[in-house]
Amino acid sequence: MKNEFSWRYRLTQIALAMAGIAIVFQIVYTQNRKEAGDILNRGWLYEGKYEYVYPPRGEIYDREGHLLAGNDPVYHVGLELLYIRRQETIEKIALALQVHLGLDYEEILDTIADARAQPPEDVPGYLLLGSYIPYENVQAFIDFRDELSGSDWEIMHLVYFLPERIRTYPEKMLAANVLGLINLDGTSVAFGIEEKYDSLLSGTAVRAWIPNNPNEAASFDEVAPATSLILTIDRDIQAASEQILDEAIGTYGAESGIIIVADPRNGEILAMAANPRIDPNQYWKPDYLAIVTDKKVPFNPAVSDVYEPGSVFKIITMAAALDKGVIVPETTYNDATGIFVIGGFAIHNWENTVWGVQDMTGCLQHSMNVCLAWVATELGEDDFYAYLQRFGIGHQTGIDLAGENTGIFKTFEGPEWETSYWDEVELGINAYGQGVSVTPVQMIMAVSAVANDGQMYKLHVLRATVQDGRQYDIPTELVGTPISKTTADTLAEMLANSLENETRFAKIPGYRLAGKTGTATIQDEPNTDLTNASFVGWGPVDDPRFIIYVWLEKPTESIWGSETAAPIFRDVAEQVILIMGIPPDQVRMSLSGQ
Amino acid sequence: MNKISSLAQKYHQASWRTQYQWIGLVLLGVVLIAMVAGIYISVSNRAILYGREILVLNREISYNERKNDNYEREIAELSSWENMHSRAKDLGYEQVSPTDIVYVVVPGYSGPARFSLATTSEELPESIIRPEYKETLLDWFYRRMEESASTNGGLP
Repeated sequence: MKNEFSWRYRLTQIALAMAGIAIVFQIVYTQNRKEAGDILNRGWLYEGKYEYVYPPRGEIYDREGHLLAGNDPVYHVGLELLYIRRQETIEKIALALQVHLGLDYEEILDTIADARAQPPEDVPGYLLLGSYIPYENVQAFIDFRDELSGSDWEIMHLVYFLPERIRTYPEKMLAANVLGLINLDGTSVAFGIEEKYDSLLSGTAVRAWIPNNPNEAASFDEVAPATSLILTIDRDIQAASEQILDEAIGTYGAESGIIIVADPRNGEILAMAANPRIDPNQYWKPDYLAIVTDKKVPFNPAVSDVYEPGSVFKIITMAAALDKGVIVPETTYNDATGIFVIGGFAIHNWENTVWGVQDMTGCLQHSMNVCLAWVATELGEDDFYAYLQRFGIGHQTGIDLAGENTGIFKTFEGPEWETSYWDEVELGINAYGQGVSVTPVQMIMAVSAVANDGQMYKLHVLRATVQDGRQYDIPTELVGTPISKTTADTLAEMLANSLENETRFAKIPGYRLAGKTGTATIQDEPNTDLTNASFVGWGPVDDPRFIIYVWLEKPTESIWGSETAAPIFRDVAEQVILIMGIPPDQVRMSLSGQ
Repeated sequence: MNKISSLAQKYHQASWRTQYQWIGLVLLGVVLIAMVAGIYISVSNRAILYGREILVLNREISYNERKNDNYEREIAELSSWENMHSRAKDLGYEQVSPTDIVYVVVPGYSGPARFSLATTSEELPESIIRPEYKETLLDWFYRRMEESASTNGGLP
């Protein structure tokens, strides 16, 4: 019995052993053949993927926590084309996408037909049908899909959504010139806060391994959140300023305009209105090109545009002379002819008026060019230009907005290329703000020193940063004390008196304000009556809470700053007083006594 | 020698004894392997379930973050200056002038507080993660020693 079957057992053993060896051989062969590498590589594709993970871009808020720039979820929608065979299925999907996502039915059918007409190896697995679909539409489609069952449910699951975030500015055009803009896919930022603080707002991208294997899920790389920003801008003051400016541009027929509202005690910008401006949500619309490219208006003229400021500059000339002690408020100047000759050139008052004997307050009140030219000569070019430097003229203010211009001014001392065009007459005309170009932010920062006891704070728009649930308040920065407190107080008093007596359009009942008008001719257009009209003023004089700078470019209804920029100052100041809750002077003094 | 020969003889005559021993050993090995495999499968099964849960939760977090962004944008648009201004106008509110306002002194009130989006860096919240989850065994030992020393009045 044993001998009879033993050969069969033996044969079975050998057969099984051979089969085992064959299997082992096949395994070894399969793992080492040429195609094994390709298969392994293909396997990697399904294990997960490396992706650059960006944290959502930091948000931007105004000083009261109103969202000025945030992120909005949008989706790219596509189709798993490889799993679709029947035309009826395609039509069903196209109809659902038209109803819920607003895509064009015929366009979808054409796109799918084009893709399917390609050679089989070129037919894409995932076919993109639409981009930047709003969250609400996608949610409506998903709700619709969830109500389906059976094959319809399966069909609609062939539609894929890839999420993305785009920048959104819920206040639309409000403070657009301050915020700047960013393109749809987030690859390019331009202007304003978006550009200046791009590295903080965009955060740090991480190249992360995104595993499909649940065993590796715990090894997700953490992405640090980006930094959000709180600005010094007050939304209500900004909106009021923009509204007033927009109306004024129409009323006075000006080409463009700027209003800056700041706190002279710390350099915080409360509002920076510009006209024209665009809606950064729709930067691609023709407005952008029409403004920036065609009209040559900088995106934010408050920091990027330079112009001859005119008589508002007299504040700086007078401050320098008072501080140096070459004049006092009671010093008189006898304007017998309305002409002052310097360097062989005759300087005239506006409209060639003659004012007779005037003290220094009168010189400011009547905005006498000849008087200020005389004051500058009394001061001397060395001291005059030294004071301009101390006030920051010819230097960037360092404001935290992209694209700041330096301005143009020829110093008396300096390298050959700077001094070669300087002439003695420059001293005379610079004294009343001609022959020198400044940016609006330079002017308001310089004058803020007069409003704030001689101390000049760096203008800034960033109030605090927020990251990881922690808030860091940005400290204010004193950039200089160009004049003494005594000089500042004296000049403020002179300007308040001057405003009370002369600039009736700038006054607000119950509030003592100080300020100065400016009307500057435009050297680039010498044969026209066009001017730059401006006004700078602050209040209350004894406890300044705000300083306002207004600049209208080429107003046509009236060329004078006193008739155009001054009323704008008053309207803005009224709104600022209301929004900041500043009581009238008498009330304030009686309340402070309680 | 005879005794050994006798034992060999007995085993030769009852070969099932040896087979039983082998079968027993193999079965023991199989049981051990099955136990280890069972534990391994159980642990890896739990790990995969939790891993899967993490993946799902991560997706949910992303989804909810996007949803929050959308709500935030909607709220911001609804409460934008333009909307609030036109709603106030529709409700019949009118702009006042500075002289229309009556100011009164409220004892102890010093104006609205400065807006803060988060705690300032000086006011960091205490971590909700207990130290046991973040320290080594040695750290834990030292910490307990220190705690015990401080409750007992400190070291001499």
